[in-house]
Amino acid sequence: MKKNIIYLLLATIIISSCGENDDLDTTILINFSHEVDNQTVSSNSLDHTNEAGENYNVKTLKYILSDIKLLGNETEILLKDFHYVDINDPSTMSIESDMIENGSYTLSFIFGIDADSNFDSLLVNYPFYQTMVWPPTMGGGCHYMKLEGAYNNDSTFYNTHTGPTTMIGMSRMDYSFPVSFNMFNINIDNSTGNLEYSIEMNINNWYSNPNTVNLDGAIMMNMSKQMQLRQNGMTDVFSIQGILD
Amino acid sequence: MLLFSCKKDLPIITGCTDTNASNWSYEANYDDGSCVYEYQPTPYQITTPYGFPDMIIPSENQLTVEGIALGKKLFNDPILSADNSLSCSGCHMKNNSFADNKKFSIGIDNVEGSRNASAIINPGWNTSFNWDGSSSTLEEQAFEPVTNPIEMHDTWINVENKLNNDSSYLLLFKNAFNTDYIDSIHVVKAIAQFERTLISVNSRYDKWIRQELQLNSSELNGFAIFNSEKGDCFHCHGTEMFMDNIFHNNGLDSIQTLYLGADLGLANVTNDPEDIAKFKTPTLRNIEFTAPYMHDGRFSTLEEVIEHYDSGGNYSPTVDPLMKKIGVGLQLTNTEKQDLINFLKALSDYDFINNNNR
Repeated sequence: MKKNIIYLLLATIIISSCGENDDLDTTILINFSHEVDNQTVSSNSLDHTNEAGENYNVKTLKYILSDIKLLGNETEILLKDFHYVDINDPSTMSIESDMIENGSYTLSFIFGIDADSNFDSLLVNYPFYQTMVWPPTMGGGCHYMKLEGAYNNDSTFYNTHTGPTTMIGMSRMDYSFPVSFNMFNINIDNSTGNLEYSIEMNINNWYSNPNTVNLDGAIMMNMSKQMQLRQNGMTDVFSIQGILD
Repeated sequence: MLLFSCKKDLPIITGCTDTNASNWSYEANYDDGSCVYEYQPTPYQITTPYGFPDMIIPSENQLTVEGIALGKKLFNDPILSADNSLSCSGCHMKNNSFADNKKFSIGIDNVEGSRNASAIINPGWNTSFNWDGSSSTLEEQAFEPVTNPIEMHDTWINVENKLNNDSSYLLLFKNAFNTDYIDSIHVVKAIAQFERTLISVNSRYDKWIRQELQLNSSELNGFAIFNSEKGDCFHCHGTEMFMDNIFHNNGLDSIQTLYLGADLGLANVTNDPEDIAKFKTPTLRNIEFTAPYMHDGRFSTLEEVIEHYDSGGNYSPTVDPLMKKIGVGLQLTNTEKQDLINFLKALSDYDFINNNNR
């Protein structure tokens, strides 16, 4: 009997070591898309209007998402530690997961980089570092977002640059924030096949709800504006939807 | 038992099992001591300066002591030009941080170019080369001036013949690349190796960062303006490299000037109207040594450069939003302008231009 059990155990080990995992058939493609209140993002004429009544366009939109995860009941799958999006660089507009085990998941990420990770020494070898660097006099690390364009007329520009603030005599303030799509389940079983989702940013919502934020002025060291943009970002800037074949 | 469950016994095949040997055998599983090793040049290791990313060196052109020395000799040798009169260093002069102090360099036929020769400083961290990004590697960049009619105006066949008829070069290429025939690919590889060693990180600023000295109050104020949204220099000239590796239209030319034939920069390479008048951001390290400034050398002094940004530049559809208020500008006080210039001069690395090993 003892011998039989040993043979059974060995057979099990051999089968599992030479076979494949039947629960790993699904990959997830996540696309990043952008709009302004259902309008296509315009980079030339001042086609967009924000809550403050300012007409504007979008010439630059670069941002960093970090800690992009699938959260299961008992598991947590890191899809990517940092992802840089540039609307003018198609290669940055999506990420694809490895094979995902069967289960039910929700998607979450941090907008920007949290205070524990937003340091030059940690980020210097990431390709986005050079274009997103936050100056040393403001505490170093990276911008969370660079949103830029013209407003009111063609030759006046806004720079909505978000990131941490550092004031003399005060600790560094972190305005990164978590985004979780808790009500949106991603269910994977053997019949699922590959999945595709779109994470959408409504640019206009950065400037409204709950705070009306205008485009004027330098904001990188403006704690009040950074906090207002954080609150607006957490409210309704991001949404997710599935993409059907 | 488990070990043998998925694999059959293999017969013993003797031979050389060291993959570094020239007679390495794929089939051999027992080394019989027959390995033969070809000559290998001496590896050279780049030390990553503080705050810089790791330098990405092409796997097919790893740095060696012999390759770098050969590259230096080639860089300074007019043998690369058709009439043996002009070397790389003829336009990229060490005293000018390997830039040209003339607005436009003059080729062997006395023809003037249309762009200011770029400084060659910390080029191993650049991801594109030339003001319009027309080359993506140092090797690729080094190919171009040799055959350019307004520069060295030579042919690569002619250059290869000249080098292969020179016994000293035959030996140097043998030592650097273990080759008996000199071709253009090895020439540009050697030059690129040398250029990757042109590392400058010993300015007063660097010494201040290393806490070896104290910057004066004007330099410190300039540093603060540089890194604030008031001066807003850091958005393009950020990081310890003082450049962002991308392209910007910084408002040098108006729409009218561009229509009249001004340099279109990156758009000449991409054919994308969105890239009109965009040029590669140069590093500000050693900026004091590299006058005149901008892609066309239009500004003779740092004071003129600061005045350009202070007055806000000219509008055209691709002007960078970082220019904020076209025609209005930064509105710095005279003291602030001088502080900014004093900080820029603190980026001068005299050891770099005075080092005879370069």
